[in-house]
Amino acid sequence: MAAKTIGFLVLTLTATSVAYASAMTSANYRVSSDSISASSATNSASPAYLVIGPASGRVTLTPPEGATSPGYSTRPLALSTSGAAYPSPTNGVLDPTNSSGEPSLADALIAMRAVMGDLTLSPSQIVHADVAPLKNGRPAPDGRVDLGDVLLILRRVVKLVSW
Amino acid sequence: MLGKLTGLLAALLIALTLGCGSGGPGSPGHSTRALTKVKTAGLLADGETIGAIMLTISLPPGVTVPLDPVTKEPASGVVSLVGASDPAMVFQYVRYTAPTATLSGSLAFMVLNAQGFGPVDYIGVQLDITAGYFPVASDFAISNFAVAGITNYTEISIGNPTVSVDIN
Repeated sequence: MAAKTIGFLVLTLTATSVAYASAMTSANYRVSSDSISASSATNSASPAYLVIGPASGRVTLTPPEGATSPGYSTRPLALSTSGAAYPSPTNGVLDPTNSSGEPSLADALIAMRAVMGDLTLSPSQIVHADVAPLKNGRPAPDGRVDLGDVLLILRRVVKLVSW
Repeated sequence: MLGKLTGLLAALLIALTLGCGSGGPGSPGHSTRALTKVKTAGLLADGETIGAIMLTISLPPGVTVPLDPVTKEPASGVVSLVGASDPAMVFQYVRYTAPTATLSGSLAFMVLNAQGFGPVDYIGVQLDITAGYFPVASDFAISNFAVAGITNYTEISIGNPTVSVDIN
C-alpha cells in the first residue's frame, strides 16, 4: 500500500486509489469513507488526525469551521478515486437520482426516515444530510444527522432558506 | 442536548380518540375525540420557534391506530396538525407498530412545519381502544421526544414529559 502525508493527515491507501490535497493548517478533520471512519480529535496544536486503513473509493475530508488551508474551504471535500479533489458542498441532497444539487421533498423524506431509524444513510449521505446548524447562513455540520437537519433540509426545499 | 424544559412539558397533553361505539366514559366502545396538544411557547429559547417535533408513544394493550384498509398503514389523519397557517408547509412521517399479545404497540411520528409552529398549533393523535380495555394516562409512555427550532436548527431532547390523557 502507498502512504502519503496530506497536511496533518496520513492515509494509507490501496494501490488502486490516490488521494491528495494541499497543506492544511487546521486540525480536527473528520474523515469518512466507505471503508474508513474515524472521529475527530480535539487537540488543535498538533497533527490531530491519523487514519490508517484502506481508503479506496471515495474519501471525504470534512474540515472544521474556520479552516485556513489554501486548498480547502469549510465545506466538505471529497476525493475521487482518480485523485482529483473537488469541493462537495453539504446541500441536503440525499436521493442518488437527484442530480440538481438542490434538495427535493424526496431528500427531506430520506432524512426524515433516517432520523426516525427506518433507514441507514451511507457515509456520503450522512455528509450531505449533516447541514445543521447554520452559522453565518452556511451549514456548520455538527457530526450528527438529527431533527435539526431534517428541518433545515425541508426549509431549503420550500425555499425558506438557501445557502 | 437537553434544553431547560422542565415544567413546560405540562403543556403536552395526550388525549385519545377511542373506537366508535356507545356507552359512557370508560365503558367498552365509548367514542371520544382526542387531541395531543404541544404548547410551543416556552419550549425553546426566547425568539425561537419550533419547526419540528418528534416523539414516540408507547401504546398499552388494547390501544391501536386506525389503519388504511388498502395500505394497512396508519390512516390519513391519524396524526394531524391543527392550526398551521399554511397546510402546504406541514409534513409528517408516521410509523406504527401494532401491539401483540405480549408487547405494547407504539406510534412514532415526526411533524414539521417549515414556517414554524405557532402558539396555538397542536397535534391531534387518533387512536382506537378495543372493547374491554380501559387505559389511563400512566399507561402511555412517551419517548424520543425532541423539538427543533427554525432559527438555530438544534435538536432539543425533552426528557420526562408530562402526559395527560383525556378520555371521555
